[in-house]
Amino acid sequence: MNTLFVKAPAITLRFVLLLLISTVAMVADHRYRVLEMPRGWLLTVMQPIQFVADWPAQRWHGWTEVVAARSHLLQENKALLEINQQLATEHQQFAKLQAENRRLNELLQSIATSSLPTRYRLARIVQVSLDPHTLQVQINLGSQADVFLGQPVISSAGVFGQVVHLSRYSAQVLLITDSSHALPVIDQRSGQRAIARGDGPSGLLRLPFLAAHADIREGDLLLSSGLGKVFPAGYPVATVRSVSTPVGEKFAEVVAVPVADPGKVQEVLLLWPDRAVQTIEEPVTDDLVDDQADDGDHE
Amino acid sequence: MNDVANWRDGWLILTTLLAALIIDSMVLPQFLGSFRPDVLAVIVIYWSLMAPQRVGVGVAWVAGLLVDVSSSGLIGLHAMVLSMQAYITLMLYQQIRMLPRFQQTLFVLILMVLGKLLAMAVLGMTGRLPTIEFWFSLPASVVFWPLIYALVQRWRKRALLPS
Repeated sequence: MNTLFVKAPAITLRFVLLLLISTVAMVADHRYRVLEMPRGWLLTVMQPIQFVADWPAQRWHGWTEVVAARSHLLQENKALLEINQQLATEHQQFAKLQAENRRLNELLQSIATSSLPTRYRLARIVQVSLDPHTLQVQINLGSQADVFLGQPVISSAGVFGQVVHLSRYSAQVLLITDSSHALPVIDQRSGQRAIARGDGPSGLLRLPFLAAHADIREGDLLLSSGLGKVFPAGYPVATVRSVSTPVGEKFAEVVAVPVADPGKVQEVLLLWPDRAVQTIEEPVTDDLVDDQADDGDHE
Repeated sequence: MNDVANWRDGWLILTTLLAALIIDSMVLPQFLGSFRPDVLAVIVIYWSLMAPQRVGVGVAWVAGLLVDVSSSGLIGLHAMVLSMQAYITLMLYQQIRMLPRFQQTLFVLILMVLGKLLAMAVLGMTGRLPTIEFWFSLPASVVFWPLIYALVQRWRKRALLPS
């Protein structure tokens, strides 16, 4: 019972309808970010397909590990042990310093006590191809592992990005170098505050709106300041590469290199900051402050 | 006989669409990444041309939506582009089927360019105008067309005449 010819008017109607739905969906997604729930469900549906797509990359990685020479592995092991020793030694003073810091803060009656996240979890970066127009990676943990929207993600080197899309078994992480991402930072040396904006494909950060006389120098380390309420304070973000003030400009042009290199990272750490544990009813997605003037900035 | 062919076609449609989704989700090395063909679009155009009663704007739209979600892109972008490509194919499929292979390939190229232009217009409106690399997938997609055509045609013939 096949009709030989497809009915043109019906198809046109259907097409116009779908066109309309697509347009509404794009506006709802881009302008108002209200499609996170259905996005999560569909991403969960896509999980098996992504798993198959990720498989060769994963196999390749496992295979290179298998054929790695024994001497190479021993060498690597030795280096890791050395690092571990070093870290353990440094850690001995940690508890004492923490207590001391708390006492001093209490003396100063400072409210800015930097609390350490209570929970970390290692997540693997899934090798699936993502929108080439944004800088994102996908990780293998989702809402089932208590991951939440706006969750800070760090690598062993420093701040990496934040969770922007979430499904049951995976999450998509926007890198701090994406052009729609910005986070508040503080210069470790001078205490100068600034905003670090992603510069897109160049993989760098720019610090806009810094006065020409701001105390910021080449080689300075920038830490997260915690003001944006997404990233906890005190994690390394970037090192300043160049500072210049073009003639006739009010603001300095500051370029910084992020400490976490997304190209080399295979595993990242998810952080559960203290406040998220204490006040679970507080909608954490509010941290994704939508700057009305600038379409859909994160932080 | 006809029922069996239909049933096999259904499976073939599903399998090729799934395979296209998987191939499009795979990560290639950086220098190859931007040259990869748009496999899903080619498959959708093929089925809209060859089985217009089964694959139309609806299937194309759903497939596009899945790509949008899985690639973390704008929801509705690929859905819109793919359903547009399917729609044009459906409107012209009787003429296109009669064309020699070369002109068919040309038609696919035109559809691909139209799709890219639509996507570019939308991305421009969101403030993320794509770079030149956005167009690099065109040659591979067009080369891919005769390949997929020959391959699926052979499978379908085998399905029609079970040995």
